[in-house]
Amino acid sequence: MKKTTYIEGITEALDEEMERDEKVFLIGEDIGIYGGVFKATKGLLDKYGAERVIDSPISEVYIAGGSVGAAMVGLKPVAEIQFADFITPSMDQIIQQMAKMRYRTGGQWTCPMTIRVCCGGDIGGGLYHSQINEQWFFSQPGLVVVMPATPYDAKGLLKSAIRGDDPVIYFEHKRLYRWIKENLPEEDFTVPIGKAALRKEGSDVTLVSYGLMYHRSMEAALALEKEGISAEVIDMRTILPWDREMIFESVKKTSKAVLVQESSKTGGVMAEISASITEEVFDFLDAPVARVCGLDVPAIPFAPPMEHLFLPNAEKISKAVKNIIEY
Amino acid sequence: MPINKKKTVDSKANQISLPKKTMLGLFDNLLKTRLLDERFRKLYRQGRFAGTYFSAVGQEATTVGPTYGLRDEDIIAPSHREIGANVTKGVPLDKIIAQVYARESSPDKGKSHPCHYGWKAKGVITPSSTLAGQTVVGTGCAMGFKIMKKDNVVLAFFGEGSTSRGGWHEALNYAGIHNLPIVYICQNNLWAESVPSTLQAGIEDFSDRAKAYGFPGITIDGNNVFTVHKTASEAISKARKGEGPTLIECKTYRWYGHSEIDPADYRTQEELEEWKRKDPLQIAEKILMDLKILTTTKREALVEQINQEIDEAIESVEKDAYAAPEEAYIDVYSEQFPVKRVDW
Amino acid sequence: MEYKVIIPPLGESVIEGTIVKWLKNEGDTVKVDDPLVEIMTDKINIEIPSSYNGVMKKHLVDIDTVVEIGQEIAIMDVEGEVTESKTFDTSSVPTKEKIPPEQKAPVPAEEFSETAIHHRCEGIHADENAIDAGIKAIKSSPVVRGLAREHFIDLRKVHGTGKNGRISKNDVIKYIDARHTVDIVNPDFQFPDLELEEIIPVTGVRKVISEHMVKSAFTIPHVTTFDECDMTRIIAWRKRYVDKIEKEHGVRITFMPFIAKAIIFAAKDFPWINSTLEDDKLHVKKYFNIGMAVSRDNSLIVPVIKHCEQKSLLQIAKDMHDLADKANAETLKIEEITGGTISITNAGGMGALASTPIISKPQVAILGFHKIVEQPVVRDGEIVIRHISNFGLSFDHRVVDGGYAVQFLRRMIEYLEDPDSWVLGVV
Repeated sequence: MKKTTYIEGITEALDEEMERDEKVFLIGEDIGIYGGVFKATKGLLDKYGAERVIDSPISEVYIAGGSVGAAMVGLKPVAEIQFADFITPSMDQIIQQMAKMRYRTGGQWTCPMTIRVCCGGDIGGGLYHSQINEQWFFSQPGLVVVMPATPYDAKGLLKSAIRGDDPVIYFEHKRLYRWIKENLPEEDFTVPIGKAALRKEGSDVTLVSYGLMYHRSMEAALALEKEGISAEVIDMRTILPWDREMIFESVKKTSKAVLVQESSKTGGVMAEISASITEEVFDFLDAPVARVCGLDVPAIPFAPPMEHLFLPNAEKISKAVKNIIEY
Repeated sequence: MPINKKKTVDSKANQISLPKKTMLGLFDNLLKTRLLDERFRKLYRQGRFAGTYFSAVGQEATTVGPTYGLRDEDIIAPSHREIGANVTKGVPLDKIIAQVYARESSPDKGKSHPCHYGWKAKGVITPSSTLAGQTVVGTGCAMGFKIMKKDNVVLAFFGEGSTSRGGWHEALNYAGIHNLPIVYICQNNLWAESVPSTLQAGIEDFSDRAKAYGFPGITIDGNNVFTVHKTASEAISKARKGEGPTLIECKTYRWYGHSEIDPADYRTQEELEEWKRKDPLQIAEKILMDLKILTTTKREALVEQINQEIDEAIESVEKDAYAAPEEAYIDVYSEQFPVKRVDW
Repeated sequence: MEYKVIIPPLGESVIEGTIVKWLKNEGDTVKVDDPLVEIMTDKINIEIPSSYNGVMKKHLVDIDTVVEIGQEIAIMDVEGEVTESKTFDTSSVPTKEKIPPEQKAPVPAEEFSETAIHHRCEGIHADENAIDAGIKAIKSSPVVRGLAREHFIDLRKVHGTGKNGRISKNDVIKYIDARHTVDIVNPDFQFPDLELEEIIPVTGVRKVISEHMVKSAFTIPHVTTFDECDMTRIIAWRKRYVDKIEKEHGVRITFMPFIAKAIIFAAKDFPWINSTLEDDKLHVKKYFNIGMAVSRDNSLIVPVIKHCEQKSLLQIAKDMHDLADKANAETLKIEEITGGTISITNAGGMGALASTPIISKPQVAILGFHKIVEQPVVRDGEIVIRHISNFGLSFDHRVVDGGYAVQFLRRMIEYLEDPDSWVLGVV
């Protein structure tokens, strides 16, 4: 066991998977010589060479679409989109090629590849370096979308993504890169895609979140515990396809749900989960499903007071919980 | 290879020396493509299949020529008018027809589009409709071949209109940086649906675009299948040797509308007639007959044989069923993630 | 054979076209792929080729007619078989893989009714009308509504602690718990420390009784009225459910809880029966603390089961059982034998056919229940064998008139004679 940060978990997963399978290669901006703008790929160019750690031109269409092609002829590409903000040029390739390859070819061609997307706010990144846009991909069947919250999951989910047979958008949260450390096993391990994690059991309310918001939810849950409110905390880990069973079972138990999401509220992941809860477990509800989400503004604004207003935190989550507890 | 442009589009320029077998093979595929294409147009009008149909009549040489002689493992990254590439690459006739009919026996099980032909066993990627989309993917395939140190090549087909897309440029730029084993075939048929090539780019020859990416661009007569084949073959063997990509612009023309419901009234009758006089099938026929490789009798026999093959394949496919509607749930993900079914 | 020419689909947005020109006239010979007709749509003019060799037999529409996609426009005589391409056949696509939705097994009616009986025999469970009325009257969440139906709750009786008195899931759970364990014993109560206080011997319990008896017998002008009760139906009910209930709840329900409930129902119309007379004031009770005589080795003790109106039959039976155990173990507390509002004594258990019980002061009535005997009785002009018991009601004639007491007893017996009517909540 050794103390590992979230970003070290990512680097280790890349390193170990490249070592394990020579079909794995990396492509992205500044990932080679520079080792990645956040150093996620540090040391890998030296170890594996320029053919497997490719410094791409500033070409997000190609980073995504070229990876699709490489995956189709048998490689296991791991592409990096330096900031989630810059994924927009890739959308055609992600939606029209990557997500639909298996479907539109009747299963002849597949697209086993991973796009690592560096996302998230609470780092003072401003309008174009803080975006978190998982909801765009969440609404595209054919894609797998994950967002780990812990170093263990960062490493284990990335390994599962690389080893799997499906195209994965792997969101990694900048705020978590070096903030949390965890003892990781020395031996090889993976985290299954499609399974949420029950981080804390509780009886009064279910808190559902992922990424940085899992940590904010847990902070809220621990504070609420002192006030006699017992919150169950679920970290989704995989956003698409999401773990319906765990969320529904928890809501059936607690009869109350507060869903927490960093990105804008309208049309977000939690809108779908909220709707699904009312469709599937309505009879167990004792209060309306509540959402705590980012503001419905174009992206996270730069000035600290505005960023603070935008982002959900433990206090805002606790307030929402109390609102429905008292409902 | 120097940038060697033929500014004229002269169908009589046939000083091509190719083996007799190759020339006959090219003609055979050209003829098969034409007969199948025209048959599809009729079947569509007879209401035998649904949706729409994109005819490639008039520009078949641009797909048959480059594809002829490729290996099964070589990749075709097509668009929607590449019936000739499918025929020539050896995709079974019944697979092509089942695609058009959207039957269960179709390679895509009836999911995509009548003209989205693709067959992995012969290396043809089932295309998407976003133009130049497969140009990027095909370039990625070439990148894969290079990383894996395989001597396979990729042929990427697109129209002149697709070269206006950003992704197209990103792909060619990348191929130029890494000398990827890919040949880009631009079928400049002068019209991108209804927009003339003069509104598509400020250059006359789209092969000029290659200059910016550091590899050769060639403009040729796209209606002479032998010219096209010879030029492409040279580029392909160069690519196979690791000497980098080539952009080949084939000047050509599509006789019919963008689809069967497009009257193509944006262009003049004179223009159409002029290009019909440069029919790639007739040009090939004449060359072969001049060389005494082909006779009218032999041609008629060939037509009859191909038509019989087509008849049999259509008869068989028309008997095939559509896939069960629940096929819609299949192949969204690997079996690890079954799609939740809706109980309507 | 005959073949009908139809208008094929002419593009995604085209729904109709106009016949411009017939290219084959009636009687013309037609070869495969020969154009038959020219159609004009708002997108394109299109010639429809023939799928067959044959003869154009009849045009079904004239030129300049607007025709719809799929419409028959001509009849041809064609050579050989007509083959169908399944292009249009989407409405009747065979559903090879169609999986029938999982059927939920319907709850058998009988089982359900037993469940309902069972639930209701447990106590004061609401009937369907009350449940519905409660749900209608009170704004509540889905889970609360579900619990109300599942546990036979009239939501109007549940105390809501949410915003604006809204009933939460927890409120309902508390209500259900309370229904099962009405708090009649204060668990915090500590019996006085024997060494520090005046010694009250165990026989003190007996002393309290005797004091009551003396006071009662010498101050109350007792009158006892008798009536006969046909216990046949209640015996049948017990026979049917008593084992099942015992198996599920560990308590064997005797006749006493039924009698207690019958008293409560009958007292609705004769409330003075359930009262105490203290200092010339009649305290008419809105609750029923029913004393039930329990025999011991050499004496009789009357523990009090409190708030029987809030308890289920089952709960009353449980309480009786517990108090009897305590009586035998001589661990009854004072408050467990005081505070009664009316009493029942069962002399029948020892074989008595009739008795005149003494009222427990300051109560004003006591009911004596006696041995059930099979007797020939006349019903509808015929002699039949029924299970008959005598009931003797002693009442305080200072405050209760004879007619009042007689009617009360009659009414109570009517309830006992027809248990299904109230156990089911029909009455």
